[in-house]
Amino acid sequence: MINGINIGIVVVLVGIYGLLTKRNIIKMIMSLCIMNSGVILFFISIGYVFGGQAAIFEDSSSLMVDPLPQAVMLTAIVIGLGVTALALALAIKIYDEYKTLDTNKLLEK
Amino acid sequence: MIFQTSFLPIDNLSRFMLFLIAFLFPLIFIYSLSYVKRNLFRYYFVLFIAFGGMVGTVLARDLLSFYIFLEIMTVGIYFLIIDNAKKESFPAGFKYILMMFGGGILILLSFLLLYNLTGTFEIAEIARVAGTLNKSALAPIFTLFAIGCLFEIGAVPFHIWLPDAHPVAPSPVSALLSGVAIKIGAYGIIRMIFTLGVLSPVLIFIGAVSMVFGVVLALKQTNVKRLLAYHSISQMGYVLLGIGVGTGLGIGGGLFHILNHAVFKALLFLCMGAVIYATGERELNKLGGLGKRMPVTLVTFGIAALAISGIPPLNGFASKAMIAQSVSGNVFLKLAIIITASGTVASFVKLFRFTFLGKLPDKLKNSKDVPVLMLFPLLFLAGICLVAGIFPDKVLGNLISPAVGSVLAFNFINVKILIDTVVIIIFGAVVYMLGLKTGYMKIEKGKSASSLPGRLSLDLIFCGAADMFTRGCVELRKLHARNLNVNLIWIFAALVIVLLIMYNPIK
Amino acid sequence: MGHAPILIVVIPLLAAFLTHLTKYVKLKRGAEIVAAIGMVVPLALLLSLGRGVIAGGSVQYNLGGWPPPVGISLTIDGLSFFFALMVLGIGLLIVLYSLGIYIFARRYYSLLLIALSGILGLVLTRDIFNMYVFFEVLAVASYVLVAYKHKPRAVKASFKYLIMTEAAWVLFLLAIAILYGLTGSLNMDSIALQIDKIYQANPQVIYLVFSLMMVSFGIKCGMFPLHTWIPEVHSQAPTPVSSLLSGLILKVGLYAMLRIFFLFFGTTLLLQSAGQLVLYLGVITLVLGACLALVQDELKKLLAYSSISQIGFVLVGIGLGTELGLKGGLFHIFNHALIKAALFFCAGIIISQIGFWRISRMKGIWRQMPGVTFSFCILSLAIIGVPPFNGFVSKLFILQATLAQKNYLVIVFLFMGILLTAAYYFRVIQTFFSPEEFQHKPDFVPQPVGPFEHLSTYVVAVLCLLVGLFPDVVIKFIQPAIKVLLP
Repeated sequence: MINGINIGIVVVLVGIYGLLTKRNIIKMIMSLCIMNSGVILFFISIGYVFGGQAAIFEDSSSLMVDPLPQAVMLTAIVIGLGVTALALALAIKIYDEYKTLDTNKLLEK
Repeated sequence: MIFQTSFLPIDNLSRFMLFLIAFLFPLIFIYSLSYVKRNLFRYYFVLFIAFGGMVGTVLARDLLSFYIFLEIMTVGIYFLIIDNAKKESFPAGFKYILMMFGGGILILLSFLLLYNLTGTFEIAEIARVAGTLNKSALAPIFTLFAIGCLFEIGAVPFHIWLPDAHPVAPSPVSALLSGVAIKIGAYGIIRMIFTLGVLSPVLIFIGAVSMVFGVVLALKQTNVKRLLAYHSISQMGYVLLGIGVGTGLGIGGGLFHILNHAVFKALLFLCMGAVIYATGERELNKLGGLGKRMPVTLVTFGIAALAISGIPPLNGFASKAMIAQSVSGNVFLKLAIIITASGTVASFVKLFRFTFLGKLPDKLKNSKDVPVLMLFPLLFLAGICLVAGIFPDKVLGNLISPAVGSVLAFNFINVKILIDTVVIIIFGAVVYMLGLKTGYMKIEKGKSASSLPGRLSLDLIFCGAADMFTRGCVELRKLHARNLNVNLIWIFAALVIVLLIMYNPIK
Repeated sequence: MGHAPILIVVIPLLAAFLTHLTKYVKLKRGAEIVAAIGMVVPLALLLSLGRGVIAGGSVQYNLGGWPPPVGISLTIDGLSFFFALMVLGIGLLIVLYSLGIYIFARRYYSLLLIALSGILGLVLTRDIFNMYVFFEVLAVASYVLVAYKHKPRAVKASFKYLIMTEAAWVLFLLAIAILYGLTGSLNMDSIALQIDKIYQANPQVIYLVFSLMMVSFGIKCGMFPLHTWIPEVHSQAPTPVSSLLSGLILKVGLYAMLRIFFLFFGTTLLLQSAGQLVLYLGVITLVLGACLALVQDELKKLLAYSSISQIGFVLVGIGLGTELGLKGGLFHIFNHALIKAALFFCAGIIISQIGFWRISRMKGIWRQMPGVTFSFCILSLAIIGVPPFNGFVSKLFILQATLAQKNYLVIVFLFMGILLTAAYYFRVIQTFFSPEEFQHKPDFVPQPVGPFEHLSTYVVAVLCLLVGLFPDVVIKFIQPAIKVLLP
């Protein structure tokens, strides 16, 4: 049962766990990244064909993996990177202003 | 597609209402010219919006435009009520607008139900189709509509906005409100009876309750305008009683009373407006002895008070006699009418005595009669009271009969009416004596001797419910988490719940 | 003109970068002019396609010339056209308001244009992953816009907005992945062709996809338990950004719901439990949003909760799924976008004059600001649904659609919702007309308010009346959209 799809789902659940329980906003950003990675793994595994190779047409008879998820996930990784960078920038800003990263303490201020 | 109203009355009923508005509005306008001093632009802007709404309602050819103009009128009158911008204006206006919107939505729902049934909003078309429909399908629609209209009329148990809104509004606005705005609801009910051909006898009951309730509470009021406001509830009870009977005589009496009430209640409010204008006081215990200072107001107020009490030869007696005749078989209704009439007499004796007779307080030494622009409407309306009272059969023949659509004849000069009048005056005197003796009608502000009428006020139910609701909302706000983690838990909990609903494990 | 659909998306994006270059041009209001051009040109292009679309046709454009199942296609049909028109119209309105307060703010206009191009892109595209990308473009631009003034509380709100929205998009991506695994395609039309067969064979997985999408769009549009970011973000964001959020960004979730639910599940799920689910969630949203708005003391927060409540009305219309219900829902989307944007403008003007956010501090402002008070009254009457303004027409349709289904329980709640809406708006209005004089915040300097801010609110107030009197004009644009949703 250890394949990309199942592990992807487990990683998403780990990310959700982190989002729900961690009070530190850096850890929340990390959880978001983990969730994102889980989905990316899940998506790529869907297009994966066991024993296939990259879809570069040299020998069309050989088995190849679905190229679309890979292309699409490249985009998703880039977006994830951008969002994470922005989130971290906001976190720095919040820390500068409030001197804390705890969501509970932020609520009181 | 929304507006289909043509600017012509559709039949004699709307012509009658249009006449009523067109004749009262200029007087109120003239009166306002010297009464209103502040925010003139805003005042006249909303006054004309309210006027447009009233005219539109009675001209409406389809039900949707009826609703549209009703709401326009409501909004206009709301801004007129808060025009004085005193502390108590705002709660009163708030109550008014919410109850009107509540009633309005009920009316709209009944129209939409009717649309689903008949496929049209046109009144003429609905009247044609309704003849072929089962009455049991139309009855709930009529009930819904009538409840909505009772909000507009201010009938018990939906009256609570009325005694609050009248005292805080400028006096010409009170006259407009009592004279025309609350009649629109009665017009709506009559229109619906004619269109659908169904009638609920509950209207008679509500009418009778409103009559007695209004007058009982009016007796103990100390604010002059609040006292008049309770009489509006009571007098609209007469109208509802007449409408509820549903015979030509009943509806005719109701319409006649709409006309009469519009005239004398507008006159009463304008008179009290003159008193307030001259003295700045609204409480009975601070007034008194104004008769010598304000003779014109004294005379016109006397005429109006006699008219509302139903004393011939002033206009109130004619319509009251017609309504009394239409319910003559029923002892309880007869009793209600006598109680109401004698209570009315008593409370106007009280109002008259403590305003115009007695000792003039030192503070009011300098008060004098109001400017001529304000006197003219008073005199004109008093003249109408007299004329309509002396020639009631002319009014009946030329205005009411065409509006009802059948020829009504009523013998206004008979012994029974005379006896009734004497009975009412005697009972009124008795009530007045009793009221003063027991302290129920005392003029000092404060706790009344008997607390029952205080509890009778339904304010407690409506406002208590609203209060409780608001408190619930405050609790809800406290429950509403702002913590990010908790909010994320809500999201994923919602995901789980949606999944559970979709999979539906119980199935 | 064959390239019009892509140009509609690209021109605002291009303009976004050009605004930065205006630094080197000796032009007084370069950034504003570029921003206006960046919206007017797409608007013109869109309108040039209008005749065909309103007649019931659609314009398809294949990126790079690759036909749909392989390449990405942009399609302008009735629904996209309606939303794109709304986006550009409200966008121009926001620029009009911003003219007075953001002078030389190149970054602001650039971000605004990026956000608008994101919305336009996701409205036009027929590729579901492409939609996700545009969602993210819009989202990232709007996070920065919320925190634009670097106020600490705004930064905090922006962070909350970021985390919650990103969680939504991860769920959406998961749903896309599952759909791709099932159908092997990312094109919406080809997925829609296969989804019925999959539903027959294996309904469970379709339930999963539906639930994921429901929650992710629900977060975006402010459905009840998912609405928690809205009040905080709306109240902390700069005024024009609040208008953008309430007017357009909330509607994006509704657009996605309309487009994807009706295309994928229109013949299967929506007719069963899912339609009811949307309906009842809408009812809960509208009542609870109104209840919470009733007890708010901050004007912008009240408006934010009011947005939630009005979205509830739209969801009721969508959940009914009938032609009349959708007509009411779409009309209310339009009305709410228009009115709520202008209400935020009014709130912004008032707050910039007195320095307080609380309603209880706004007593008697009508003497100093009669114009704003007047348009606030008109706009709130419009959103309550008082005739003859536009809100009445849409609420009438929604009521009528609910009555046609004989769903009397929902009617009771709609009744309550309308009454509560009246209650909380009149609470504000009566404060404005209060006899007391308002006090400025101590040592607060009122910011100058120019003609543009006032103009933008008056324009909308007049539009409200006109649309209310002649609703047929808008219904003409809604009709083709309904034809797309209910073929």
